[in-house]
Amino acid sequence: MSRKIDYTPYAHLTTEEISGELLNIEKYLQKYAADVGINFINITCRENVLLDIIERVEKRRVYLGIFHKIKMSEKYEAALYCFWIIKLSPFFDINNRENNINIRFAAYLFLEIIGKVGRKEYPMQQIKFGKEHVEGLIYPFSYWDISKEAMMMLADLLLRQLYPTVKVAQPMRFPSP
Amino acid sequence: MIEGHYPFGITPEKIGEFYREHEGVKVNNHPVRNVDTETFWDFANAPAEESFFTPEALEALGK
Repeated sequence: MSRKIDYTPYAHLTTEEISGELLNIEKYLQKYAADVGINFINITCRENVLLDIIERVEKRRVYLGIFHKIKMSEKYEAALYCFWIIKLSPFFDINNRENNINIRFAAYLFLEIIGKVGRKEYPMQQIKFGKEHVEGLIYPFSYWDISKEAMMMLADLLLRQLYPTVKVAQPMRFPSP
Repeated sequence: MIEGHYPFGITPEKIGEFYREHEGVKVNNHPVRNVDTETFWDFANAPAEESFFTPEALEALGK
């Protein structure tokens, strides 16, 4: 006996929505390049990989919303983007072939979003990330097997470490395997 | 959006082509979406009063 499908099937983002996302990602990548001293013109992108990443993050948002009633927060979305950027490597710095720009861009995104989320809740508390914070992420991002969920948990833990009294509105509620 | 500017050179045609190569699911809005007017990347791009990184950290992020 087949079961009735009574939920809304997944549907892709519209072209306009994706174009908006692409524009914002480009803007953020430009900001990263300017901050760390890379010439943005030298950064190339594997187009289909980037589109795939946007789609995968969107699918996760829908999955969390439908099956767990969780609205994906900024820190979780940052963690997901970082996971896919590290795993699928959409960007390439043609001027520095030895450097995996994806790892460092992911570390920048990860830390900055944690900082922004913290500052939103605790505007008086100033946070600065030092070299040790960056290096503490570069190695694990490069060589460890970090799952999507572990990445989200890492974002949570780092936020709580930096802001011990932070209220985590939506605790992780993933089902046991 | 700037007229004629396609981020990373990805045009609407390329987006359409990308989807045709996948499952061919009809494009429409899902109820989970459109909850907030601000997207994640809007949040990420919002200017910060002060950098979150020391100069040494930025150097390490760009090596």
